[in-house]
Amino acid sequence: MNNILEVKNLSFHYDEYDIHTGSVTEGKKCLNNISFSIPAGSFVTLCGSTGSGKSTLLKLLKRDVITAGKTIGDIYLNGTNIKELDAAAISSAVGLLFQNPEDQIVTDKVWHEIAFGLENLGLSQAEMESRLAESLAFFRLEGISRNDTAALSGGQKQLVSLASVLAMYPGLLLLDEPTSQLDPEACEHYISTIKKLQSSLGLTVIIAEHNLDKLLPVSDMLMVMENGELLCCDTVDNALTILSKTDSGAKSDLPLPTRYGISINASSLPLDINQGRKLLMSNKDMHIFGTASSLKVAVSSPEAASSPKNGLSPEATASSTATASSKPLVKLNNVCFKYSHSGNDVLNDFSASFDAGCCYAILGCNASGKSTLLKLLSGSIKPQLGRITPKPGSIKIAYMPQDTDNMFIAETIEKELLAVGLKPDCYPEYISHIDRSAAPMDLSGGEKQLLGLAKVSALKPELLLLDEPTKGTDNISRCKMLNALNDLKQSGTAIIMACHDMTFAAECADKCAILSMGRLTGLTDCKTFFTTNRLYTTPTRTMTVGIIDDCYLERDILRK
Amino acid sequence: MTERLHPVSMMIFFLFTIILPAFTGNPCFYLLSFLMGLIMLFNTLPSRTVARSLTLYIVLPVLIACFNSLFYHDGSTILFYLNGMRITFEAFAYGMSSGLMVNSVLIWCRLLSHYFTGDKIMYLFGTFSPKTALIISMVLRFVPMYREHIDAYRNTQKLLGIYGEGTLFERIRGEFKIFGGFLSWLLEHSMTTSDSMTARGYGAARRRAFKLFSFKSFDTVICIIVLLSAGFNIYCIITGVFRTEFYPMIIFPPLSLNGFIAGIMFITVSALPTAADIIYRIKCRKTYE
Repeated sequence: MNNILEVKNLSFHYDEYDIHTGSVTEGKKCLNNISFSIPAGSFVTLCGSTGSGKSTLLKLLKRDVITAGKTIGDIYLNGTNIKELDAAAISSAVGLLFQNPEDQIVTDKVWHEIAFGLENLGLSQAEMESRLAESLAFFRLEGISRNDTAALSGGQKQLVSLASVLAMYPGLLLLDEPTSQLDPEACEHYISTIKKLQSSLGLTVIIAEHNLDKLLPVSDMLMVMENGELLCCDTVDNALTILSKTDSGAKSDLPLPTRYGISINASSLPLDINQGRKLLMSNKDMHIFGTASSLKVAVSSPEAASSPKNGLSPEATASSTATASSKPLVKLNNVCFKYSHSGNDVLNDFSASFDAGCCYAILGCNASGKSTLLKLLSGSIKPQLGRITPKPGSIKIAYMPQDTDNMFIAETIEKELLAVGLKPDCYPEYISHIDRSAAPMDLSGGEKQLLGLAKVSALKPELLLLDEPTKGTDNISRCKMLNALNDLKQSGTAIIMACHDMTFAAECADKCAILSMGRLTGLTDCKTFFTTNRLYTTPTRTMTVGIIDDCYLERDILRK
Repeated sequence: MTERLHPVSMMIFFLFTIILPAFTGNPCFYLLSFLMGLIMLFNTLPSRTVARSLTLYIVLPVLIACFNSLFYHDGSTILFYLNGMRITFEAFAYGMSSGLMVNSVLIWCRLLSHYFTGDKIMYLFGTFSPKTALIISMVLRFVPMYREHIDAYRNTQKLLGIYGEGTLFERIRGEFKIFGGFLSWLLEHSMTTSDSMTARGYGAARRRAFKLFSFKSFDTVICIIVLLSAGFNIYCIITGVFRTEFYPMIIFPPLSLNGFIAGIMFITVSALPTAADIIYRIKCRKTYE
């Protein structure tokens, strides 16, 4: 098979610029002696923990994007060294897309954005027209071709960017965490579009991503990076076998069924829920833990399956007794809200009460009103009907927006935290690994979220509102955030978070509900919520339903 | 149909209707131009909107006329004396005439701004300088986005209760802090924007702007008629067919065949888009029935 891409002994240093002396020195080695080759038409997933050099590698493969740094080694595209290609040839042969949909859209109209690359190549008008038409038709963007790019949803923006690159007819497509800012729905659509490009057009795709749940099942190859080195680059099965024997941080990003397979040393690792269920079925004897856990393996007889549940878990019982005794911290009474006069109600007769020291996860699809609810609670918008008691000003509320960038205004992390009265010696443990002289904007997605959390919790709020706290984070940051939130809860803070990430919600929240049709449906404790739901629940539950009763947390089936 | 005109022919049309009447110096021509503009405006905007702005078009000439007669006292027909100053009919008439001219320019400019949308401006720039066109497009994209973002910034900081409240001095200091934060955000994010532009070959080859509009036969018709009519009207202006004297007394030019033809030509040109619009609308209605 011919290789579209061949990389030989590639190493890279970023230039380090000293502000004080103005001298440029060789910085830390970002990539260390990497060699691999990719057959044409493969779908390659590139994984690795934050800072492992994924982005740098992708940018190097594109050439011209990284200018400050020293590259050693060679990259061959279709057998030609990319150093010998001219700028126009490489810009059309290799497409590169980035994480943030907002940043990579340059023009004001959709048609112009798609034509942007073609204009740069200086194509003739006729050719530009036909390629624009093609792209609009292929990506089904015809209906929005004359729209303003600013008015698009995140998912649409990513598709427009993709269409813009594809209009240049690349043979190799490099994607740098393209779905991390998208909601699950848009993410699934995006990945299926990429898969379609690969399978029906024969495009070679390399996609760097943290969340591998949807990606791994459609990938041909898996590349794993660790601290600037390439751990493996092989078919998915082989790479997983190699990966399972190491203790790389990338392991925690694997889909749950795969991690389950690794944890029981299965011979062939499952990639999706269905394969995971089959594996679990054949190994269910291993899961009778008896007294250690309330879990029981489901017996296939019907009366046993419908027998009463084993009772609530200890945490859930504790919190439910707490709610009975104390007065709610915040109460919403028949609140209605809509954004425009003619629009639909975003919240419709919304009533709920939230207690101190309890964590609530508000789930629901996009545009179901989760962010609106948080804004109402924070007091930045007022309900048009109904009442919130007490008034948002009378208790201390802290709000962490979806885009944490908005929270940071200082040059360094130290100054940032000093603004909320947090001195370096009393930093919470979960941000201790971050260099405190770094600029907040330079942090990775997960680190930004943690810093944001440190900032809001320093304000000692009674009510903490979190909008999508796990967006764009890796698993390690999620774990740290989980502990931090638990500590906050212990100190009596009520936490309300809008969330798409079920696994995180299940681990973190005491109570869960779906926001649907403008109301909070079935606010109940996490266990009941996730074990009774069939369609909208954690991957663990969908994998174990009918096999193990009352199991919805990852730690219930994963062995350390 | 007017909005479907090619930017070039649209620009030629509006240059003609805005500039030419102003140079005739003839109040009848001003009035004609104003009325033609008004017809087109009624055809373009909802009649209620136009009717509301009619007051302006009536008041403006009267105001200018009053001012002119207050400050300019030449002319042979004295209407009355005001504080010993002569108020003459000629000065008043000259003011009215100038007012009509301003009206005519205003109304055609209003139509221009309605029809000459951002994409048309960009097209015109794109033909001279593709880079300028790109900059315009980027400004249209990024300026509203930045404004939105700075609002989000302010809101978040306010909710955190760190900046945005307190005394005036504190609030101003807070605004500076927020702006500083916004700037660092901007620098960080524009790095990705520039990477994204490089990745799509910006600067790799000679840039050519994508043209959204095509030159149709209707555009050719408009251009030919406008240019012919402009040529003839300019000839008339130079030979003094329209010349009107106001001082010391009003002398209208003698009625001439040339003046008559020039007037007819102006009416034809300025009515052309409206006529096309009406025909188009009738055709559309037939389709829907």
